[in-house]
Amino acid sequence: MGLLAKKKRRPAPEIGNATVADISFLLLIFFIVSTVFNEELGLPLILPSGESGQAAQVSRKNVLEIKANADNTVSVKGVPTRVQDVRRIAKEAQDVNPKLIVVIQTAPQAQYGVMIDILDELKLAEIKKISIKMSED
Amino acid sequence: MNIEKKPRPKPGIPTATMGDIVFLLLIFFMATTIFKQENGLDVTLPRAEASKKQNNEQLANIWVDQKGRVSINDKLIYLSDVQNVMKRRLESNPLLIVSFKADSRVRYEIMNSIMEELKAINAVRVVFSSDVETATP
Repeated sequence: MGLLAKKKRRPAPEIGNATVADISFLLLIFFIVSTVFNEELGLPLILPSGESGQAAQVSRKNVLEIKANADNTVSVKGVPTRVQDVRRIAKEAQDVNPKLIVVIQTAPQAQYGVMIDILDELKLAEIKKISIKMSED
Repeated sequence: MNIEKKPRPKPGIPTATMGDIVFLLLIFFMATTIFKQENGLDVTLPRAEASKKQNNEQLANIWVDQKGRVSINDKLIYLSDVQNVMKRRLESNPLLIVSFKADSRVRYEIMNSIMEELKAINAVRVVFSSDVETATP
């Protein structure tokens, strides 16, 4: 009588490899969602070519000059204006004369931020031809 | 006697540890990877509503802080060196866009000098970096 002691072989417990894929996908999705790329914001402009002082041949009536004064105020044709009004003034001028060139003339002692404010308003007014220069003083 | 030799399953390489090793490597590289970053100067960019997203790859940054110090590639440089530094960048990329990261309180004459240097080497594609500003009523 053979006692066949059948020893059932218990399969050694293994760590389920199916969860490895789950974890890696979780990590992947986490990083996809949380990665932030640097955003560059700015106002583009093409600088007027030519050395300073060398004026391009432009008819005076096609030019609208907006001045940024040394005390950081803005004036158009000698009239002090608020920065918010520049948008409307420039838009009206361009509607009247489609070939208009708007020139931002900034005093040397004025803050750069004032020029940017004016440039910002002109961009919002969709002025097509913008140029910048510095006044003598 | 018919003893069937039960084919014993060959012991395989335990693959449960593969996930562990992969994660170890992953975490190591996550902790040690450094992306090159330009620090630039401490500037308060002007705010402009018309700010548009700029394409990052072709940018060269010129930092100007409130005191008027100029920095390119994390090096403080004199105004006279701007031409040399930018000329090299321009040669490697003729379509270079120069990004002015200047503090809004910088005196405009400093910006004008830099722009004159750029005009001299014909680097006229310029972006004035700004932060977004919501419309003022």
